[in-house]
Amino acid sequence: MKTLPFIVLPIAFAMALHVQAQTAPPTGAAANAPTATPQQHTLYRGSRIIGTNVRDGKDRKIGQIKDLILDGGRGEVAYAVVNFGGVMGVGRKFHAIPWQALQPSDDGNYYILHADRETISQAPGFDKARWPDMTDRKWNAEIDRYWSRMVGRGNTSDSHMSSGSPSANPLGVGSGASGTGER
Amino acid sequence: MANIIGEKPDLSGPGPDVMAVDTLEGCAVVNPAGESLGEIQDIMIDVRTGHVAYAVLSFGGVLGIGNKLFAVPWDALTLDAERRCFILDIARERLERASGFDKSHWPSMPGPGWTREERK
Repeated sequence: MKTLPFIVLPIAFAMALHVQAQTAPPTGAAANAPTATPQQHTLYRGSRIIGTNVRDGKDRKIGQIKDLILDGGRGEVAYAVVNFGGVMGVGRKFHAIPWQALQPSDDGNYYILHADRETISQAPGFDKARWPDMTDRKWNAEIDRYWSRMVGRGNTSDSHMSSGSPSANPLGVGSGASGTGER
Repeated sequence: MANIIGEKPDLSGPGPDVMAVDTLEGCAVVNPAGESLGEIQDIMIDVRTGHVAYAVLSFGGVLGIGNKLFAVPWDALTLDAERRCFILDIARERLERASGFDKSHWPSMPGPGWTREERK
């Protein structure tokens, strides 16, 4: 049985350097890091992010992530679909939260949304059984506008949006984590 | 993804290739010759940035036994919106010969050699 994987053929090593140089920047530190360097626990399986809890800034559980919406063209998570449960009086609804408005906890076991109850109860949502057309520009703009006013990681940087198109997201939803590899 | 076929690209929003991660699992992956390469098992996400680090391709095996997992760069996958599957430009034979990654140690980045350009 032949066990030599094509990815370790000598020529592949040369290519690896080439590939890194060419493709690293969009995925930040995850792709920039040399293969030998362990990641800082920032890579998670999509299937495991689904089901994790969302807490508010005071560490109270306020909801749960039900799904992630990918912008396939960018290769990025655009929105997390969150169920805030009955607590906020919006239990029948789901809410699409721009990914950049969610702050992963250090251990990755939950996400923090810096929003108060009023913000959440007034946020645009949708019926669990009737998901909106998430490619609709008006919808994107509404979501992004709402959450950009309310929350954000409050970090640095302003260049990179994760949700919607650049034009549909002029306000910079929680532009925090863009580009910089630091925590 | 670098490319989308089967539907007119819509550049005004996230685009026609907006997809729910929950439904990605099990999506078929084929090569341009139409050979089955398996299915998407999961995607790996850098939670700080939201970027997809790679997609996990499950190749071969039956009911999750005896299959191999490969970390495929997202850009190497093309969504075929019409057939509702992904196209990966690699020969099935290469996957048969290659070793998948260690299922108990998922890699931090995709391996090289997945795109035609890289293989030149």
